[in-house]
Amino acid sequence: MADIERNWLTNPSRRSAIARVAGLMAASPVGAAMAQIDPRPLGEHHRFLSLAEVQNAFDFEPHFFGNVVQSVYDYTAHGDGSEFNLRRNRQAFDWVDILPGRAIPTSQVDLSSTLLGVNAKFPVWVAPTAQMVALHPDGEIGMYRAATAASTLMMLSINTGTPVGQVAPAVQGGTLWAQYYPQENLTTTQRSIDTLQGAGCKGIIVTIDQTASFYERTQQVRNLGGRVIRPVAAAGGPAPVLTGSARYRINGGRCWYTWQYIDAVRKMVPGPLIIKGILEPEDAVLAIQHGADSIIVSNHGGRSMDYGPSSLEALPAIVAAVNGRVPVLFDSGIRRGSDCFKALALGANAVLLGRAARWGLAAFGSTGAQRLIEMIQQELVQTAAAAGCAKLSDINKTKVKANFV
Amino acid sequence: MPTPYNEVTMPDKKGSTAGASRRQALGVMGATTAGVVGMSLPVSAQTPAAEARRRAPPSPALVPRGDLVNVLEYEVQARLVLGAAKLAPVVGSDRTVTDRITLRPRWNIPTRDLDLTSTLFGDEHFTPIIVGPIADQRRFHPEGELAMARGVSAAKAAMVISSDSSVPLATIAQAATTPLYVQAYAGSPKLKDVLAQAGAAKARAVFVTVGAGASASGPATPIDWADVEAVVKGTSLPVVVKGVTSPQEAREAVKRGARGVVVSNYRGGNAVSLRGTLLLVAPVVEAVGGQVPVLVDGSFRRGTDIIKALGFGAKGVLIGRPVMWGLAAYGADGAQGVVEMLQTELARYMCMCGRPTLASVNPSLVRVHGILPTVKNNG
Repeated sequence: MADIERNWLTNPSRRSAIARVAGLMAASPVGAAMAQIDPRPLGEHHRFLSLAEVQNAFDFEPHFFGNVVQSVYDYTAHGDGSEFNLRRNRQAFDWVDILPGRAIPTSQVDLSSTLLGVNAKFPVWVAPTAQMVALHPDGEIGMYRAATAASTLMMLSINTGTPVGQVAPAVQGGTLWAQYYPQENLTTTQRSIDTLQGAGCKGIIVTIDQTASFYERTQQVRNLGGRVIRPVAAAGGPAPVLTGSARYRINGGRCWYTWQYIDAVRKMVPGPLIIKGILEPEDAVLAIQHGADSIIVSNHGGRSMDYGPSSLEALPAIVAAVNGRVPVLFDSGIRRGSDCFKALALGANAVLLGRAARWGLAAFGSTGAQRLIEMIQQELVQTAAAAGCAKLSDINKTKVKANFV
Repeated sequence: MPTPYNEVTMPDKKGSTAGASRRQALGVMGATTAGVVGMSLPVSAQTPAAEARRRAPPSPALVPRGDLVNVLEYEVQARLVLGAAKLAPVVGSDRTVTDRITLRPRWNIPTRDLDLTSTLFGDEHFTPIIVGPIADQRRFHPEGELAMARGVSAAKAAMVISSDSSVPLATIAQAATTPLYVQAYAGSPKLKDVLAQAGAAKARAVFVTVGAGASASGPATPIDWADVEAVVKGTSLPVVVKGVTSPQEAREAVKRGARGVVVSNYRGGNAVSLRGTLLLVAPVVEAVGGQVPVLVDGSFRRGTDIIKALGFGAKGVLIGRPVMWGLAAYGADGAQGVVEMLQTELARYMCMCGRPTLASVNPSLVRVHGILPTVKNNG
């Protein structure tokens, strides 16, 4: 009996009681099919599961929903525009089949690797996301502690709720990298990078997506009261003359990004330089040409550009274009170990947890984030074992069939 | 599991305060993020919400216009004002086809000098978004076409005036400061009058609707190309054929003297006219081979819908119903708001696809997908 099932039977919860009663029915083919429907809609949750009862990442979500204020929920849960991209990120995983293989015991599976100078037990890392103190008082330090306890690394967002100088020394033996958004002034850029590296962040992640959608995403507009540029006449004076993107009420604050800027940053970063937000093979090649040590295939969890490709659909062509020159990281939509497996099989070298890690932290603080990360790692091990993959390199495209259209 | 996003989250019942309480629920994230980033804007930033507070909404039951975040929310407000029955001729959208098309984002291409201007029928357009013809707009607002023309002019967009307008063309022309086009039905008995009025009002082109019978309420009919030729012969203005549904029809229209075509499923009646036309654009553009500009209409509700049409080769997109929603709920301000919202959305995705000008837009911007199986989404 697997741990997960033993857990169900030994915890006297309503859920396990139902599971026992439903056991007979579940034994029938019809019952078995029904039992696979997961998760149940939020309204059907009658009681929040305790940390001892949660069984998968989705079980954390109601806690997250209940624990944070509306604007923090909207900021985390929602995406750009019609949220086509947000939905497709998840749907795309359903379109990839894991091919049956000769199963091996989980004890034989070792998914450790050395990637970008980091020895990681599992290829599941923590993505940079903003303002964790608003999720839970444990905040960024709690997430770092969770990542370290789950023997993985954390990428700290530039929009952190806790200064990097406080996060980095708070946990012993961990690896903290830092993400930031390009700053047009190179002196300011140097100062930011000095601060991050001075705090001990060797890896620097530069996010190049979410440019014109900055502050324009629907829920942002609603919760922040809007950031639409309007020409305002000085008292008695003529209305200011708008040029370029400002004429179209676009916040141009991030519309200056260039690859030359990446060249300049490359000179400032001796450690790993990672470009985040790549969705097209052309941009992947450009990132390598401009000195990136790695790229992150990401659509910012559906929060950057609606109707762009889902990250998973974009992955295979990018992996082909990169052709092994640099490691390819992946995020957007990972909720389960099987999702990790599919991304790894399609060519990612590691996957990042963004929204899911936030659910864990918001639900039960540092302990919750750790539990969630470990759960997904364990699910990945189980999937790898079932597919007969003993090591990371065994998880390759021969193990999956992608039914993208 | 994230709660599903409903594009329309504003109240749809008079007196509902759902929107207001949501706005009051500003929390830590809103305040902190705004403070951390400290953007320097080229001009003073002023929130639409603050602007709307200064200017009271037309009806106390309506959400302040500045609080609406997409054009679909205007439809809900229009229904509050008019009731479902009166709004019926202009309700609904069919965006099914847009979900089969994705965009290709390209980063690190500067777009601060974004320029969406283009030249169509001899005039410079601020963006390729044009307000399409809708008959008898007094059905939706007491000032009808007059308020629409004021609002759309303020948004710097051109507009097509229906030959069944409820306000005399000359009056509209006086209120408009942007190029004005006039729509006529092929084979209509009042065609001669419409063309004369179009000339007198200094309209810049005539859009001739084909296949819809002789009026907005008539049944669909096969295209009578002799009627199209009659319009071409009857005016010195450029004639644009509206209602092309195939490459063959587009080629025929050009042969008969059309200086532009509008890909459109409009054949009278709502059911057919709503159907998305995006996938028809590329074949029609190929068929006319750059001889005349190809425009398109049919359920364009998002900037992403519009940029897809441009990617397939359209030179302009006609917007109909959403402008009427804005007009019905907020008068000229609403018509302006809807057009500006679409302009801004289009501009935003132009930036993110790395296309600083319309000249840089080409088919490499879009990717067409097959029809996907419906699978239960587990997250």
